[in-house]
Formats: sequence, C-alpha cells, structure tokens
Amino acid sequence: MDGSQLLQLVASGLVTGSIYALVALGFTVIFKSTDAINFAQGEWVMAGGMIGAFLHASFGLAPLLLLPVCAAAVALIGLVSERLAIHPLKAPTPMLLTLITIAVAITTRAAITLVLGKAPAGLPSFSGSENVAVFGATLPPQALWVFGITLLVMIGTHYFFQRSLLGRAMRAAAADREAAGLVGINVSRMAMWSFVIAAAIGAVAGLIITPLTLTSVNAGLMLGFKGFSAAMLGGLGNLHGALLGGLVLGLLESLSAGLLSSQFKDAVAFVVLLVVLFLRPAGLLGRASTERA
Amino acid sequence: MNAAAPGEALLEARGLTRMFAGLAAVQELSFGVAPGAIKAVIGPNGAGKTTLLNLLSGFIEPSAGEIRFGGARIDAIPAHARVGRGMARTFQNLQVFGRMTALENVMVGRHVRSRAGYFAGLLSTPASRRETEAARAAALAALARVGLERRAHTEATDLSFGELKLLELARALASEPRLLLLDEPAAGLALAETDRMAGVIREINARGVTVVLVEHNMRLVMSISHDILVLNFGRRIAEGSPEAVQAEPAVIEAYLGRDDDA
Amino acid sequence: MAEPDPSRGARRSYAALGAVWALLLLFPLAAPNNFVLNLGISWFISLALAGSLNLLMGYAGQISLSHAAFYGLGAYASGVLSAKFGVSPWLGLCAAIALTAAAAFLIGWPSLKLRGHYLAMATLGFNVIMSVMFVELRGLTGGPNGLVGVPSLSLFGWEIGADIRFYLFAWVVVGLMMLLILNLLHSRMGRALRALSTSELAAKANGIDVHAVKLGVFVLSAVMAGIAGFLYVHLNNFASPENFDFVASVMLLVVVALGGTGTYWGPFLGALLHVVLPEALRAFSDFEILVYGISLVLVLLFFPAGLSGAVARLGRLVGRGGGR
Repeated sequence: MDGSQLLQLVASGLVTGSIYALVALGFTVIFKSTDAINFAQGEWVMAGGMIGAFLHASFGLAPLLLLPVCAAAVALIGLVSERLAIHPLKAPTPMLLTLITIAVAITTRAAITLVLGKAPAGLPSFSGSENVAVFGATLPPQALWVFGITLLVMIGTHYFFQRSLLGRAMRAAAADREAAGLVGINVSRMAMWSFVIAAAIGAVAGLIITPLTLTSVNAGLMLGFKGFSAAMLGGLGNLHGALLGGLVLGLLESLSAGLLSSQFKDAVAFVVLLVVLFLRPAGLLGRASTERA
Repeated sequence: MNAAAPGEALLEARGLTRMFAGLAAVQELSFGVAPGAIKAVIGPNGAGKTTLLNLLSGFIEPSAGEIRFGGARIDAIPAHARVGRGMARTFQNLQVFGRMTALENVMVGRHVRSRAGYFAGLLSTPASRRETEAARAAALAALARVGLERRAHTEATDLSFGELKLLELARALASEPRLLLLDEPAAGLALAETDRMAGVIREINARGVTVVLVEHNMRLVMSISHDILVLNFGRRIAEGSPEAVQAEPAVIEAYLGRDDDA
Repeated sequence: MAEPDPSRGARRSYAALGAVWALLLLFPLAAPNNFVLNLGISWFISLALAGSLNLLMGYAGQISLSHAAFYGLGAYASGVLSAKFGVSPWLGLCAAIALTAAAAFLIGWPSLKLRGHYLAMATLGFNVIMSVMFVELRGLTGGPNGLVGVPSLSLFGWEIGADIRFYLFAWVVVGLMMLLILNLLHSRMGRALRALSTSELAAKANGIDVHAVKLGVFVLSAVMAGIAGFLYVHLNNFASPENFDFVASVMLLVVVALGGTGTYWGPFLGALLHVVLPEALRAFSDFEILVYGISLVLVLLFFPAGLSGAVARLGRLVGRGGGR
C-alpha cells in the first residue's frame, strides 16, 4: 500500500462520510426537538434520490435545479408525516415516537415504491465526467459536489440555528420545552419544523450521492442506519458531532475495507463505534456522564 | 449484625467533603449520630443537606473524608450494598414504583432480606415461594406501621401525595434498617399530614430505629428531633439540642433570621 | 374483611396460561394442512422471541436491538455444529445456550451501563457485527446463501420432522419457557426488575444491584432467543442471515410494542403479527405494504399501550356495559 492509495481511501471515505454526516444531521435535528430516533430519515434520503432521478429522466430537469425541487418535495413528505402521524399523539414518549417513525418509514417506502417503482435509478454527475486529481487522489467530479454541498448545508444549518428567529426558537424549545412554552414558543410547531428541515436535508443527501452510487427504494435502510450510527458516534443532538461522526464513520469504513478486509469493514467500523460508546457514552463531542447509569 | 459499642456513634462522618465543579457542597464535615437518636439536618437552601444525605446513602462519592456505620468504614461500599447493612433512605421527590401496587412496592423493600435469584425465581422453587410469602407478610406489616394497610392492593399511581410519602417510608422500613435516612419527609404535606408523619417517625424511632432527617419544616424538626445539625454553605455552623440550636446566634443569622416563614 | 387475595392475580395468570396451552393442543386437529400447522410452529418460535424480549424491554425497561443476533447465534451454533461437524443437535442446544449466554454477558456488561438511545445503539452495533459474521464466516455459516443441511431433531430414534411432531415439541419447549417467565415475574427478581424499570434510584435505595439484575435479565432473554434459534434451525434444516439482521431486531421491537410492552399477554398477540409480518413484507404487493404501514401508524396512534391494552380496554367497556 503506497501513499497515493492511502490518499485514495481517505478521499473516498470522506465522500461517504459526508453523506453519513448529512443523514446524521437530519437525525440530530429531530432528536433535539423530540428526543426520538427518526427511522424515516433514511427513507427521506432515498426519496430525494428517487424523486430526483425520476424528474431528471421524465422532464430533463438539470441536476442542480433538482436540489431545491427535491428538497421541497421531501420536506413536504416530512411535513405531512409529522402532521398525520406524530402531531395527533396525545401522550408522546420518545419510545412511542420512535416506533411511529418506524411505521412512517415503512409507509413512505411503500408509497415511493408504488409511485416510482423498484428499479434502481441514477443521475448524471452535476458537472463533467472527467476525474479530477486532488492532493494526489483521483476523484470523480461529483465527489467535489458532495464535499461542497455538504459544507454548505452544514454552514447553513449552523447559521439557521444560531441566527434566524425560527432556528433560535427551535433551539430554545429543544433546550427547555416548558420554559419555551412559557415565553410563547409553540413547541409542537417547532417539532413540525424539525421534521421539515430534516426531510429537506435528507433529500439533499440522497440527491448528491445518487450520481455516484445509483439509488433504489431499498437504499434508505442502510443509509439511515449508518447516519444514525454517525450521529451516535459524534454525540446525538450535537450538530458538529453529526459532521465529525459522519466523517469518522466514513473514514473507518473506507480504511478498514482498504487496509484490513472489505468483507469485515462494517464489523470493524462497529467495533470501533462500540468502543467509543463504552468509553465516551455521549459520543465524541457529547458531554460525558449524561446518560450513564 | 455487629451492634455499635455503647456510647459509640452508629453513624459517624469525619472530614467529609464533596466538591462539585470546584465548589464544595459539603466541606470538612464531622459529626456523629448516636444509636436510637432522631437527628435533624437543617440549613438554608443550598446548604448541602441533600448532598450530605446522598453521601451517607452512597448515591454520590465523597471527594474526601470517611463515613463509618456501626464502626465499619462504608464510604467505598456502593449504595445498594449499604441497604443490606441496615441503612435505608427515602427521597425528597418521590421515587415509587409506578406500575406496581403499594404492597408490591413494599415487597421490593424486602429485597435485601431475601435471597432467591434468577434460577430460583424461574423454577419457582419452594424456597423462592416461601420467601415471597414471607415478604408479603412483612410488607403488609410495614404498611400497617405507617397506616396504609387498607391501600395495599392499590396501584402506587392511584395513591395521594401524602400516602406516597408514607409508602416510601414503609418500603424503607421493610428492609429492617438500623438507620433510616429521610429526605424532607414533610415536604409538600398539609398540616395534619405533617403531624401524622411526625407520629409515624416517632413510633418507628421508639422501636429502636435511628433516624436522620433532612428537613425544612421547623414544626416537624423541633417536635421530633433529639439533636440538630445546622449546615450553611456545606459547613457545620451549629450542633446540639433543639433548644440550644435555636438560641445559637449563628443559626439565627444564617437561617432562622432570613427564612422566618419556614 | 373483603380484601382481595393478593396472590389471586398470579393464580389467575397460571390458570389462563394452562387453558391457552391446553387449547393449543387442539390446533393441529383444526389445522387443515401442513402449511397452517407450520404457521402454528412459527407462532411458538415468535412467542419465545417476543416473550423473552418483553421480559427485558417491557418489564425491566431495557431496550435491545440485538435480539435477532442472539436468535441467530443460537440457530448458527446448533446448526453449524450439527451440519458441519456431525454433533448431536442436543449437544448443539447446550452450545447454543452457552454461546448466547457468554455473548450476552460480554456485550451486556458494558452496554447495560448505558441507557436509552445509547443502549439501543450499543446493542444495534452488536447486531451489525454478528450479521457480518453470519455472512462472512462463509466456511462455517454458508455465507449469504445460508446454512444448508442442518439435520432434524430426533428423540429416542424418533425423528421430529416439520409436522405434528415438531408442533408438539415446540408446544412443550415454548410452554415451559412461558411458564418460567410467569414464575420469574412473581418472584423476588421479577419484582426487582419491574422496580428498576420505573426508578433505578429507588431500586438502588432498596438494595437492588441494578447492573447485576439488568445483566441477569439480559443474559436470560438472550438465552431464550438462542433456544428459539435452535428450534428455528432444526425446523427448517436451514438458516439464512437476513433473518437475524438488525432489521429483524427492529421488527421484534415493533412486535413487542404492538402486542403491548410489559404485559404478560402482549407477546401472545404480538407473535401472531410476527408470523404474518415477514410474509407480508416479502410476498405481499406494494399496495398491501402501504396499507400495513398506515395501519401500524394508526394502531400506535390510537392504542399506544398495544393490542393487549386495546383488548383490556374493550374488556372494561364490555364489562361496564354488562354490569349496569
């Protein structure tokens, strides 16, 4: 194994890691406002890719134009899901919410299958098809789009929660529901927005990865599960943790596949994840001792 | 059980200190509790009373100092193991087992006085069944001691606040403690209920159980305590009989003077 | 005094279990063919899985997303030993029990110090690692195509094939399991684990070694899942890794929740669903899966206590109507 091969592994790990980070970000946004693990997150990622591929194939929409369209379409799915399946709940507990999102995930996948079919779908790269050399690694141009858009979404989300009125209200509601309610923040409305935002982020992740990997209705399960793991690794409920967790998980997989064994890459990645969890129960960036017995 | 030698304290703290993020919640605290006594720990909010109770019962670890119980050091023994040695506690904010009846709650209190493990339980061995029957009888007796025998088969969630306080007390009693640590037994109780609680504590004490209570309610403290420890900012500012403590200028200044509504 | 007998509830549960189990003896007579009979056997296996997970999740309040991994470990332990090494399945059963107990102890020790989502993640991670092993240790497990050639069970030279004989065998094994669970619930440890699920603080204050009790019930529930795996592999003479992946664990969680967590009878209803679900998800049309997903949402929205909660509510309504 020489240096350039190692670089290649790192680069491809960062590409996958970026996607994991975006999925983890979606988990984080909903976790912060509801304490629930949203099992539908992966399906939203799949929905973004599938809807994008469909719109491109049927109407020839340019991939870049697809970004806002798909984000809006999937955000709508998130909105409808929250209003119909989550909002009516009289006594929501994190466990019950989590179970409902499993049901929502099954429903979403079935609906997408009915409308768009089971066949794998792809998208052309957002620009060009010639591989580019970056620091000695050779990358498809789409990889650069993945990096760029992930970075933009991360920065955008950060500023949204730090600066915008809605974002700050959501943070307040997440920090202390009762107090937020007392100062006039509609806490249930904030939960709704978290579903909308998480769905939109999921759609973007699904769209930008599709040119690299293709997508199908079954793709959401694995992406959702990896994203959840990344969120836990970074520290559930922590935006920066989502980015770090995603990148670390992506690198772990890529390096263990390249250096150790491609068959056992998932096992290696998850052994590391368990060790982190046992040593730092609240994740890499989480505050320790919060959930320790 | 090795009883403490006559004149020796049942519970003793020496140089007990607990730091939270650099601040001392309890600092260099030394005191003793005589066998058979009712000792109250009072002090303004934030004086370190609950921290002290958590240290004594093993729910938090001391940063320095030692705790002796019946002559033996216990500060390295985990909370659950202290119960078997004869130390039981209640909680300020109720900690009852919601989906269990009052009787079942108190039967859990018999945990340390019975032995059946997983295998005995799975196979329902005669010993395990005998234990359950014995636990049921003892739990009913403990409920009777606090006057809750008529509520034995009521789900804990259906009991009133005052009844839940008594239920916690009965559960603690079921473990046959030598020392009972009570965290604000009168908090949230109405006047009549407070008097009932005082009567129950006095009666428990009369049967030989040593009591340490952390309490804000001066009516309860002054009526039942033999001995009072006053804390402020984690330090002892006075200790002695109710009369002596009430006369202490430092106490009046730090506590009674400011908190006269108590 | 007209005080209700405290142990009457327990006796009623035993009587009900006896009655249900006696009725189940009649099922093979009513089953029109082997397919229906096999659904009955699947129900026994599902009940063992749901019942044991409910013990951990419903009563002790500890979430686990690794139940399918222990199910698989039991299946592969006995399956591999008997198919590849010619070991008697009964020794395979011992190996399945020992292996699931050891694995549960090792993963449970650090995991059960975590709570909530962190515990879920740790157990999920373990399931993923086990799934990779089931698929990639091809020499032993047969890899993604599954383990073939697992012998059927035989007792005193009498083969327990996938028919009425296996039904009766599962009837005995799972019946014993459900009896043991009922015993446990009415014992000292049963009370301890119900106690710690509502307040670990109070459990500790009552002298319960919370971590040890949790670890005990985790190992116990894993071993029961392992025995279910033993039944599965010798029933089907086959084991396939996708039955034991994390999705299977998530579905078991849903099954227990739908039945009603922390109720003894919940898993009986949940297991019924579990027998139908895999068929539904594999063989049904996309439209039916959509309907299934929506009804899942509706059940959870309107019966958050699960089906057994719904049945109990219905029973109370009827009872009140009749009492007037």
